[in-house]
Amino acid sequence: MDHHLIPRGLDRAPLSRFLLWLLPWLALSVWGGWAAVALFRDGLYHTNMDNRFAFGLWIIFDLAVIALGAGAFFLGFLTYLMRRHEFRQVLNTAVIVGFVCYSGAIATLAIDVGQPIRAWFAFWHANVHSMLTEVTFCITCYLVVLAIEYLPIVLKNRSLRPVKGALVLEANLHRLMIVFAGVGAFLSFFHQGSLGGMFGVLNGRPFAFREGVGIWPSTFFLFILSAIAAGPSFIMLIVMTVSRLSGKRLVDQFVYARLGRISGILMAAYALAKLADTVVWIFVTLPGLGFDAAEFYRHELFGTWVLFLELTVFGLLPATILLNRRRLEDRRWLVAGAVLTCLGVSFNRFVFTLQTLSVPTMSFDRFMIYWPSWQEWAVVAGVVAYGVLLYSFSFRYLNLFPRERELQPTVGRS
Amino acid sequence: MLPSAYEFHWDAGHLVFLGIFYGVLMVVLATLARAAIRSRRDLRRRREGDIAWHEAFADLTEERRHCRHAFDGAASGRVCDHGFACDTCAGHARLAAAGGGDVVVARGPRAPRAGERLHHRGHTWVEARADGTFDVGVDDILRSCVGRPDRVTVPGPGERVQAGAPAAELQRGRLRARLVAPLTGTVVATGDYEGGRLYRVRPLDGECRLENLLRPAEAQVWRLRELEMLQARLGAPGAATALADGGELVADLMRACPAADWDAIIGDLCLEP
Repeated sequence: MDHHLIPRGLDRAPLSRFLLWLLPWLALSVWGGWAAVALFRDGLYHTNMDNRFAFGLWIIFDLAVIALGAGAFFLGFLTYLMRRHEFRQVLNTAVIVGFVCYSGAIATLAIDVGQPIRAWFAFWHANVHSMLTEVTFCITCYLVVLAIEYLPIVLKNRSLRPVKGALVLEANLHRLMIVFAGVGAFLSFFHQGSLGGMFGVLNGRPFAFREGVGIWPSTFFLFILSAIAAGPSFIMLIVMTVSRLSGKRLVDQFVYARLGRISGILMAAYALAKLADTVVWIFVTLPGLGFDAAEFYRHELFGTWVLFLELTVFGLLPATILLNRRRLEDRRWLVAGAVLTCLGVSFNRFVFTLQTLSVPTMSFDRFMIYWPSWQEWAVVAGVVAYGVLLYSFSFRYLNLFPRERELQPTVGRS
Repeated sequence: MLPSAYEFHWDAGHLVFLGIFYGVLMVVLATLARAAIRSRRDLRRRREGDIAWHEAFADLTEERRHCRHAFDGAASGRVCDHGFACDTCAGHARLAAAGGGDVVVARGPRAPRAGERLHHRGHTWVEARADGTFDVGVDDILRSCVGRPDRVTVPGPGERVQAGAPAAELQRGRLRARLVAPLTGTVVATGDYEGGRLYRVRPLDGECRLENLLRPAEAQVWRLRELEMLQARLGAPGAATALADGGELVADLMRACPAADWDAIIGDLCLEP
């Protein structure tokens, strides 16, 4: 029924099966939408956040998806500016995943902040001394850039090809894509850093506070490094998952290996930097503030295992796997390395958000923990479902993988 | 956040931070505006045909982009990245000057003789006429595939066709085969599909680009490759391509092989990915 919308020569599931696949995700997005309406109507009363936990599940989720979505800017940078053309094979997916991550993060933030009719205040009455202002400016600006990068992919749909205006606009946008790739890299670089910087400047929260270079604490650089390490791995996992679900080879095997290698190099740099940062924090920063690092790991929930996990299982281990050329050729090791990298960056954002707020900083404080309400989970589930829906439609109706046709073993009967 | 807003202060922090932000915003908007202006200019200059060809060409698989010198044996396996624009291709000039390969011994930018057919890889051909005009038709492979079309759309007299841009269309059921024009010129007459001719063109001097079309000897090799491709597409999934044993294509392949993915096959034949 929708055959005329599917790119020529690409084999896609029958419409009925596709609609069946959409059903659970639609249900989740409706659940998320319902929770969002309640939150807009009644405010944060529906959440389990309070004065102590002003940052909760939504911020953890936002920080994680923004880091994982870094593949969009980083692969754009590698393809257009560094001329690594092999990544063209996954660039469309990177753009869509980036768009999903950033639009999802902004939607979640909009619910968290509330008062959407005053959203423009963030721009007009900006606090130039806040890292969050830089983040707000950059992620909204970068979302516009991602939308512009997404547009030519949509305009290439076969039903739009005969439309002269769409065709010509697509071609001209494509020619100027190097500018958008450059702007995207610039914006992403700074907001990934500022998200880390936001924690590093919290001098009232010694668990997160870090020293650094100039106005930038070390977390500024660690967040950038971990994001660009995780981005290529996340794109690789998405493409592998889509390939598995659709039963098709979508990109050449060597592309996975190169993505893995880039992640490995950056992960190694991140793991070592994180190790150095932790040592400085334990032996220089905390004693200077009158604290002992052991105080932050005294609580059962966030024991020293957290630090161990971050530095080894989610740091040095994936770096070791992804730096080994023989392991890169083995799909199982490649997936293991990429999964650990993505889990590592998500875990890092979780620790920075939750442990920072949980551990007491004053003598009269006590350890507290927070568990999200169902409305908070619903919003996150809704955003994930929105991402799956958008990607599913894109995969079905747009030509995301330029080599897909050539990589199929036979192109015979439909 | 402009000087008119009450929080704004004329200090370095505000100026640097907001200067960078608005600078980036201006770059994004200016680039977007540039794309829009260029698009408007291209549409005014009627460059959409040229753009359509380049866009389609970029999406073609390597299998569909073999260089003509891969057919004449001078550079087997060579893939074209030049939009089949041999007249501006340095590689073609070099290989042609060397005399081509084993299949085509000598070739130069000579005008085609009357009655000689040159082939476009979108399965159309042009045939030179004594009065300087050219007949444009559909080759036998595409005709055999499409069989008897329900509708044939051709440009009318006086219309301009542009090499590489879609000019005619064959429709059978829900399937459409867009035929690109093999040369640039003005249509002087329409032909008869049943007779194999679609329309007659008077080429524009200096713009018809006949050099980009395949000459008969090259077209012979290319045709065999197209038949091989067709055989592979019509074969059962997973089956290896067997050696062809000769014979002619049946008149209506679509009817003979209804289960084949004709949408993809026609797209491949007409260079429309």
